[in-house]
Amino acid sequence: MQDVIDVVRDVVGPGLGVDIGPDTPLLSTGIVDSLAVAELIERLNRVGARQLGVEDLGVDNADTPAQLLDLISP
Amino acid sequence: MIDSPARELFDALLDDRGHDGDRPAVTFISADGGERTYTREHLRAEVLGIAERLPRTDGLVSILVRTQEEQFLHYLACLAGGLRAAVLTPPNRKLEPTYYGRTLAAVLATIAPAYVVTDLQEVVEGIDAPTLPGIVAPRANAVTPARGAGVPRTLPDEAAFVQFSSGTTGIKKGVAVSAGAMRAQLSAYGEAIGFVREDVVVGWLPLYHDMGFVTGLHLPLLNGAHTVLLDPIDWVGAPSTYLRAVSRHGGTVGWHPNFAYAFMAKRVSDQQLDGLDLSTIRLLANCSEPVTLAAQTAFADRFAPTGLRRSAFAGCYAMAETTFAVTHLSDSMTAGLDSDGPTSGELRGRTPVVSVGRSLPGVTIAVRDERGADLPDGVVGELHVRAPFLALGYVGEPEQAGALQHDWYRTGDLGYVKRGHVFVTGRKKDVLIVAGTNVYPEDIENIVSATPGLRDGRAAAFAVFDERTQTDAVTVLAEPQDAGAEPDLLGAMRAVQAELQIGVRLHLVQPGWLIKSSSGKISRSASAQKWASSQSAPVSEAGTWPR
Repeated sequence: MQDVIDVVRDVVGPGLGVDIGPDTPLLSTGIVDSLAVAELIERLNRVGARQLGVEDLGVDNADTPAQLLDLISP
Repeated sequence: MIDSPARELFDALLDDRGHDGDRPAVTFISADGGERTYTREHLRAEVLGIAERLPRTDGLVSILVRTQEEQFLHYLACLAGGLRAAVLTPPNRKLEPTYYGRTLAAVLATIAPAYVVTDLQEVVEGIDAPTLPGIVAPRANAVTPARGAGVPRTLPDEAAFVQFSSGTTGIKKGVAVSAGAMRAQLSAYGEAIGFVREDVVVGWLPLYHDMGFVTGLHLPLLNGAHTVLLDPIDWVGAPSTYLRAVSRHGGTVGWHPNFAYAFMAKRVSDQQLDGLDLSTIRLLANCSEPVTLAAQTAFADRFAPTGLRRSAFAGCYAMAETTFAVTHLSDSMTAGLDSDGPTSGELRGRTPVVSVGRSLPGVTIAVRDERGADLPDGVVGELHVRAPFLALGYVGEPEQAGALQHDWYRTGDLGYVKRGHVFVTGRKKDVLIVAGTNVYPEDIENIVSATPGLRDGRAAAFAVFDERTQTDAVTVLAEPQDAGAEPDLLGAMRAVQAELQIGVRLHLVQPGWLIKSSSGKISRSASAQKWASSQSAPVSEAGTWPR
């Protein structure tokens, strides 16, 4: 889990104003915006067991680090 | 023969004389990389076929269809049929459905079209509005009756079409443009950039905003050139698709907002560079948000191995109200740098400032103070534009009419002129420009202030330039109702995202931390300065609460 959170923090950058935890909503809050999604996917694909595409990420299934971890887990 | 401004424009764009009918006119690239190309002859036949079935009206026809291909075809079909049209933003996976429905309802109420051509009938019929225009399915001729007793808005007789500026609801404005204005624009700008029939435009910009609408459709068609279009949502997900399209089709010209240069430089991998040939590009214009040398340099450096020339970068100052461009500058990375900045007035960002170019022939750009007096070279003021291709006016926005009067357009942009070069430094009004989209800070503040636990009216939204993305990021400072309050900051961010499609950086500050102006209102600029200086200070001095 920490790997995923670290990736998200790195993609989002400093100065966000809220801390990122396993259940922090990312897409629905705009913390990860459409420009950052591509970078997030690329970074997750480096650490995950499953390769993701843009079409795999939605608010319903990939809004939080915990959901992202589920998506990239074998 | 149809005699109307719209048909006049169609005949100019798709004149069947002087251009070879078998030349490629437009290629649409789909998400899976598939391509569909129309020759000029094929395009003309397809469009005329659609035009025959479109119901006649003197009012505005709104085009709300899913794909760029259908937008392109139906817009031209409207022109061919002598109908004045406006291309509307279709829903996409980025847009929250409730927000989208509200925005669409607001746009339709403002422009009051005679009917909507749409393949999204369920979306249109589902919006919450007392009146709705009639609906026509693509390539059909029957109008589904309107809801309520709405009256289509009357357009100026000279209007050929309506185009939109980029922005959230309330900022996004439809402007009516004449055929003469578009032709004058294409002539002046086309000549300035040396646009010729052999040019190939490759673009991902949407047709429902002025930049993509003019450069991706009108400019190439009028000149008999080839235009290659990708869907903007596909581009965001895979920016290398744009570069591959340039490489494959020998793209020579392109238009992008500043952030896009930084985005592509960062998001295209070494592997994706393999086999790319960008040596055919002779012009890359940087439009629609403040230009930074860093973004252009990042792009130039990243793609230098593909043959990209640094001299390709071009300055361009453009807006929907002037049909499109009012300036141009070739080789802006060497010919357009001002190391000193303005002699008087605030400069957001850093030097060197990149010129957006010199005025096009027939265009006058004046820098004026609050009283309307002209300011000397180097002094920052509001940019006013006089041009032979000003829009006829705003559609359904009478309160905006003052900006377009007496042959002048008051832009609301701040900038200065030096040695004939125009430099844009920011906005006069508090309008934030985030990745090319305009948003009012008060809209953000109102949403944030409505969050339980936050003090009503005690929030300040302002832009902080993000070096990583080379565009502005929105920071919001908000005060809690009391020291024990635990406001739902994520809920506030979610509400802003849902309403405005803008991600914000939201920080709590101590009660009373925000600075008020003498009128008792929260001063965004003073609070932003205080915030900027506090970020390098210890936490106790910074006033961030709670940490």
